[in-house]
Amino acid sequence: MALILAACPGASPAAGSSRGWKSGDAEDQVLVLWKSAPSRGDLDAEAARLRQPAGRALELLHNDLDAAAAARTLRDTPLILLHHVRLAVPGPAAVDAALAAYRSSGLVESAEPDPAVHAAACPYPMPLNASLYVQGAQPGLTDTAWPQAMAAYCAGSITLASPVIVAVLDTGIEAGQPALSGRVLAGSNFSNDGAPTATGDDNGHGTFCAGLIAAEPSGGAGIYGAFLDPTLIKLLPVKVLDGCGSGDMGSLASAVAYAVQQGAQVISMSLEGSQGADALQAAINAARDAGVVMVAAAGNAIPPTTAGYPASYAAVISVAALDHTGAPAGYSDFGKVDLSAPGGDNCSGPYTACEASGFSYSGPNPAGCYQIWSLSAVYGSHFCSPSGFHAACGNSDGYAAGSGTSFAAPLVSAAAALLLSQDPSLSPEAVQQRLMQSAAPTALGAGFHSATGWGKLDFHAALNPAFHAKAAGPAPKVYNYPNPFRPNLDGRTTFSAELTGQGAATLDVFDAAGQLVRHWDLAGSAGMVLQDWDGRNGRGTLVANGGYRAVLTQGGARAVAKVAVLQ
Amino acid sequence: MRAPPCCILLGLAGLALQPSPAWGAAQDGGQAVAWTRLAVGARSASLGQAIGALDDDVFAAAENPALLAAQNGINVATQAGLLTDGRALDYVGMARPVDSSRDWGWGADWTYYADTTPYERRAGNTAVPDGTFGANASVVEGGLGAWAWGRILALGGDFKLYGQNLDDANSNGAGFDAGAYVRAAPWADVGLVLQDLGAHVGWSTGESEGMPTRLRLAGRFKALDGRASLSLETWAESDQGPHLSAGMEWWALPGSLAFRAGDEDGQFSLGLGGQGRFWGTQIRLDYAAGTDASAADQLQQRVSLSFGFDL
Repeated sequence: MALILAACPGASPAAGSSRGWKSGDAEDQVLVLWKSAPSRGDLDAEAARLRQPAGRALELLHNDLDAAAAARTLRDTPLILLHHVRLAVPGPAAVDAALAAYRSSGLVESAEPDPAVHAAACPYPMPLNASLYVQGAQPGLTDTAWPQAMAAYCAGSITLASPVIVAVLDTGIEAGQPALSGRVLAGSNFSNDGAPTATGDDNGHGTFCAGLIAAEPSGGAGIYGAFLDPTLIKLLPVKVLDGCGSGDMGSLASAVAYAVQQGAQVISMSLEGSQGADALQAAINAARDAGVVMVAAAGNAIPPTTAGYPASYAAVISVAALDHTGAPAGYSDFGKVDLSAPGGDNCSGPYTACEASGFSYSGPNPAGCYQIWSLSAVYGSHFCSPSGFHAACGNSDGYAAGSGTSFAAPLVSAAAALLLSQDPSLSPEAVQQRLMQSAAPTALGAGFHSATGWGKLDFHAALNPAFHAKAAGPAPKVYNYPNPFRPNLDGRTTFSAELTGQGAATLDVFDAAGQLVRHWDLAGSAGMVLQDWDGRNGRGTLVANGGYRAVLTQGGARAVAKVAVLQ
Repeated sequence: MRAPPCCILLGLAGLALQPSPAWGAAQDGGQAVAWTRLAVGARSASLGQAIGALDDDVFAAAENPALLAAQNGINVATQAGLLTDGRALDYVGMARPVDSSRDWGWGADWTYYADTTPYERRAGNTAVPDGTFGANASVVEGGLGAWAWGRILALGGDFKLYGQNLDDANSNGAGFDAGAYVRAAPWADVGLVLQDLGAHVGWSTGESEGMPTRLRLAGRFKALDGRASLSLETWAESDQGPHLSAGMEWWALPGSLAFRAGDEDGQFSLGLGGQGRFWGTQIRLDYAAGTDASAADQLQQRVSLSFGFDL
């Protein structure tokens, strides 16, 4: 380290992740987050400097400076600081050498390996005839009070006003699918497959997820997506996974930035990686700051394990899957889970392969295994590729069945889009709060559970203006996440306050000496209220590292959360 | 000089004990190593921490190093403090003259602050935490004080070492205090302290933090032949204050039993102290209970025990 610093006077080591390459990381690329927007000259000089110690040529992908500058004019986010660097000579040693070189640069905030990400579905063969299909409505939607929401919408007691753009970050969307006709925008391709504008689906997973959000029966038959009015929704296809359903976190970070630029209000991510990345977290924090709601699948594993990324980021609504009994599905990951929705049963038992067939099934297979129906990228005579999700699980009628948290997450994305269509002024925190407040009990009971979050998605309750307060507990409660809180990386910590309905509520942050740091009069008086803190006191000064107390006071009762600030 | 009438003392006390508007209005907290601002010593806590001009207290010497010169014997002190919301503040220290001339004094102490209930670790909005972690901190200081100008003025300084642990991170740092003490009149003493001069802490995360220098100005006014006194103190930092605190002490049984009341930024405190000489050793036991405005005026308590040995 001393030698490197001596060679680069004035440079300080880059902060952030300090890990090296490990199995599962890309071998030919690294993620670099600059401290501030570098000029062309800075980059050329840095490339020349790095080329010597690393002995390798470096080239920049995806986010060149011109695009970055354009992004800055659209939204003032730090996303332009992310560069996805491809190494000319791949290999773990090359990755570690490049990381060491970048981390020695005074211009670089962090440099990290690029972990893999993949579609959060089809971890096992799925039998098509295991589905429960009800003509005109999704089986997974029926027990999320979706029919009641649709009836209320048709009766005019629920109104939608504004068009909404939902970005689907996945394997692409087959725009020619009749059930999505006219609702797929031109997007972008950040995966390793095809041209930058090739957003068609060569896997089927993305089209399946898109159908869950915005499908409309065509020709008098078919299925509905969860968004109640197809005329008010547009889908932005952002391809981040290749035909095999695989990608990397760097592409995902770029895709999140792109979706924000394109005006997406909801970003739906039915994908998972076992490791996060500072660059992705920065992109997600910036997207949240721009007011975008992000939803991700908690992830699948048999047996279930800890939820992956991006679901584990605080700014993302993490969705677990329920089986047809309302219990957590046997493949659904747990831990950082905010909400759950139907995702289909774990049908991995006696089956060996998905079967292509018609979609007119109305009951479970003999083993009692239920799955989720949606659109296939295979329709009519069109067939995209001989591999991927649609080949395994779809059929020539244009429909497919499957199970996974991948298919629970789009239902929540659709619900978030519905709330924003009702009231475009809602913040991401308010959307999340409404969805969690209105959640119904799962088979595990009411309230929070690490496998099902705050409960099962309830469309009707979430969209009903009269419903936004759960039964009050005897005393207020408060905690914050993330904790410890790193203001320079996390951007903010969120206080989750459970209020009793007993009068106005306040939240105060005190330092160890008892000095007041911040004060808020909370907006609600009952149910769950979320309040963000950016780590600054009332004078706008970033507070020092240390322990703080957040005190929630309501009706003479108080609750305390201990907050650790650690830059 | 003539002692001021008691009514003037009471008037000053009434003015000082008005709750300060500073607390609750200014959202200006969050400075580095903030816990070192907490009162150490039960007598200090019951006097609203207005002790920068008390020449008869070993805890005061920890706050104003000039008062190290005023130590008449070998003084050893300890404190156990139960603060609100699962926190503790403990102390052990000593001070003594350098030699029998009593022109110089020196002292050293260790203060320990800890969260006795854990922090909850969370990555996301989960009612059940992912785990827990702890936090504690300490400061060790040593200093020297000396008389000048015929024992009217004392000057002193001390050096501090800070240490903190928070989750898996830790920090170390150092700083200085400088103090002055003036016996302005038989009934009035004045203290001036510049606290945390040039103080910095560095974290294992790479973060470096500076501590703001705190200016403290204190006065002590005696009446009733020294049986009663009023202490006033104001302090300010570059980004905080000014704050005002005050305390009154009345020795109901002179030299044996004292009652105290204080106010610090609107937080009220009461206390009592008893002392006596046993086996050639002066032993004093003090107790303080005070409201904590940051904890809905719940009580926090301190007990301190000090021993004075003849030189």
